[in-house]
Amino acid sequence: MNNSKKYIKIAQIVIALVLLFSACDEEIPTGLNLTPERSVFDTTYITPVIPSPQPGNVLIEDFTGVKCVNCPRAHEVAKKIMTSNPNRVFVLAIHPLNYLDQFTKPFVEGDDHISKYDFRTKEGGDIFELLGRSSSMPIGAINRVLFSGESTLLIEDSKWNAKTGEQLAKNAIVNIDTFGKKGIYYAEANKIRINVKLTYTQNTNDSQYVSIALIEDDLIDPQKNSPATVDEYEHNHVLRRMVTPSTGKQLKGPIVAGKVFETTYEYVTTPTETWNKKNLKVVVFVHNGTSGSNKFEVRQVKEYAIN
Amino acid sequence: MKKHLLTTLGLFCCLVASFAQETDEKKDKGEFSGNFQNTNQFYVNDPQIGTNTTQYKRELSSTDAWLFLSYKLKGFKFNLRYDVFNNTPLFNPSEAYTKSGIGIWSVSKDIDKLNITVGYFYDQFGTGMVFRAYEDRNLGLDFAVNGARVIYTPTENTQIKAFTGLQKFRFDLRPEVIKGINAEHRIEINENLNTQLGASVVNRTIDQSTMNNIVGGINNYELENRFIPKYNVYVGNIYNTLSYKKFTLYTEYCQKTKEAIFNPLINRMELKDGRVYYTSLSYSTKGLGINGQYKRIESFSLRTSPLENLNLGMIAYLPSLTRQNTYRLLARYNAVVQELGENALGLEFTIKPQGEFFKKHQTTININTSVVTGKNDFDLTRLNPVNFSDDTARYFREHYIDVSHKFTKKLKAMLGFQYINYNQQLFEQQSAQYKYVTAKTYFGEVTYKLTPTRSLRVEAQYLDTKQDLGSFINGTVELNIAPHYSFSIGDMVNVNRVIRNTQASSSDLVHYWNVFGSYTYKTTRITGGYLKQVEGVNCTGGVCRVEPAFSGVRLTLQTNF
Repeated sequence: MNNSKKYIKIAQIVIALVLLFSACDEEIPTGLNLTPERSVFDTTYITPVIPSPQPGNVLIEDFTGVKCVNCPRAHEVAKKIMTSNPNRVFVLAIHPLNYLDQFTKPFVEGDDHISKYDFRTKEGGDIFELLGRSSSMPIGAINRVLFSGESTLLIEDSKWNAKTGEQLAKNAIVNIDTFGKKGIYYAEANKIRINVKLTYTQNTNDSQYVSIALIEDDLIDPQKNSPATVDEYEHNHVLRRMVTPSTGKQLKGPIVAGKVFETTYEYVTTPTETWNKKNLKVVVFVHNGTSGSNKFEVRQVKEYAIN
Repeated sequence: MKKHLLTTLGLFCCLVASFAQETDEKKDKGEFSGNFQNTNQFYVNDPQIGTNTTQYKRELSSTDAWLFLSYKLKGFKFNLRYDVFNNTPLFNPSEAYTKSGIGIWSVSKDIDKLNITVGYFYDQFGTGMVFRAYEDRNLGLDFAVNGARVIYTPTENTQIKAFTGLQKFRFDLRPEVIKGINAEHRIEINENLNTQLGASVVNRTIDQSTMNNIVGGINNYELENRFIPKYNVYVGNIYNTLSYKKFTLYTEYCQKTKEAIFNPLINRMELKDGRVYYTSLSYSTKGLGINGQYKRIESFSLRTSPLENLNLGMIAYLPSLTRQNTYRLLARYNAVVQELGENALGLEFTIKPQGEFFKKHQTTININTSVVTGKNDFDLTRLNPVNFSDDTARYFREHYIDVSHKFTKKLKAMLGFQYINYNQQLFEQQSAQYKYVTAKTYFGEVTYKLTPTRSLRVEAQYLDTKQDLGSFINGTVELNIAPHYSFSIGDMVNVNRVIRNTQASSSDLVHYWNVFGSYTYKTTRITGGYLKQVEGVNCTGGVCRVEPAFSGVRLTLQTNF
């Protein structure tokens, strides 16, 4: 009976440990969207006239930080690629929140410099996690493609130019359009209305998602650089907010050539989001879902000014 | 993958060879054993019975084979199984799956009171309701776990098991980590009373890639239906077997923490915890055996992820309380266990009358009754309603009786009746033409010993229903010539048929006939037959799958060595 008491005691300890573990808080999964939908109008139909496919543009997601000494080098690489391919290559400069703090945290009092802005976003952190996060910066994804010979989607900036070239040779399977001046505009002083039309020119079995990002250019703030920190560094393409969930909004139903999705999104800025309206832009990109051999792959991307 | 397989096979051979060599010197060659099982099917299209899978149109034949090898030496045990699947419908009846390779391998070692296993293993905690890693080739299930397991047996009355690993899926592994611990302890209070206590905890952790898919799905729900999914689910159970004289009482309670589970009724995931209550009471005395069971399931879906459905990714095994029938027509309608919720009650009597006449003629009466309802619809006052169809909350009900009697030394017979109510829409997701099937089946069997080594067995069943495919008559004549041969011929005829999934006109009689022969030599059995099999639900212990009709030749070989 002594043995029995001993084993009952062991069982009690095991159960207590399990209860302790099960009570532990878990992190909220990346990309989970519990906020109200920002789409206010949604329609889908099949057009009998399938338009010509647009040339496939390229999205460079540059994961960066203000205290990352080599990141300005990657900014230059991305800038050169954009300049060489006007209106074909678009950049998101993503400062991920809660990752690689030593590179991404803004300069604060006590540092040699002080940042005016905190460029980090939770959405940026979600995307960094989603694409397989890295332990170093600068690092980036080119159209979210897992290239031959690579083990991760995120690759060093030295490879961006060649990989972008590969992607530019493709046609898009989906055309992204808007509606002129009344396509993407300020409906009110703090309300951005985004009308997007997506027209598929090919069938696909991959699940499809659309992501919409708000980015800001011409932000002057300190940036570590080699050999010294630059106080008045010009930060461009900085991801400010995702209008859609970080993982994208799913385009439902079978995707066949001629299928059109027309959606209107509205984003209302909060009083703390003191962004410069003139420098805000919208990046729209369509990509694969979170499963399959070519998961996440960007199928088309476009950038728009806000009227 | 090929390289990996060759390496594993090579390692197994080297280990076996090195141990064999070492022990040659000590004249201890260890113990080598194994078995081989092979099924070959040749498909003959028969639109009249609704054969329509890919094998009838393209592949025309399929093969499944398993070779299992085991070598024991000095407390070590090496297991390896090579699996062959060529155009098989085994895993998915609408698919022709082809792949061969090492299905499982393991190395285990006994060290004093400890047993350690690495590789693939099969095991279960208690009745398996919180964890069961098992194989059922009949249903194409293989839930082996690949990882490490330790079993510690400090005394003959106590055992503690712990494991961690990934569940097997065909020749791959599921990415979700499963781990668990179980302890059992037997206490003999006195010679009439003893109790066996057990408790387990199982944890499953969802990987990031699967979580991304879950999140993608949740993001597409209406805002009010979205929730924060959990990476981890914890499942625990406590159980006890209490034996007092001729009574045995088993009780088990299982509880799982909140996690995302898929609810097909609303076609989306929900965040829910779950539980199971299960108890059985049996009494056994000379001439009488009684067993009563009750089970209640509340949202107890435990799989590798909520994205798995049907028979995929099952970590928990929820047993059925309904009778496991073997006759062809009696087993036509089975209650698939409803993991989202059900109440089940079963009662079984085995009576052997003790009068001199009955004892002499070995008369036995089996009576069984069971009912399964939705989890919120269990009402003791309605246990035996007259009209099942009016009681739409019911899932399944069965009443069964058989009587067997040995008339002479050469002649024995059995007669019986089964009455079933079956919610076909729920269990098979069939069209709503007939939601409920009511079937009455009359059956009997006669065995006549022709000579000391030859016997003739005749069985017959008549299933009477106005729903589903209609009524059937089934008859089989079997000649057994001991110890090597067995031959049978049978036919199942679809009378008063109802059109569903077939191309014949309603006036045609549809025959599902079969011819079968087997040869047994020592531990080897070879069988061959031509058969037509009606579409239906094939079940083992409450785990079922819908199988399409079969028409063709089936050859099997099974041997142990």
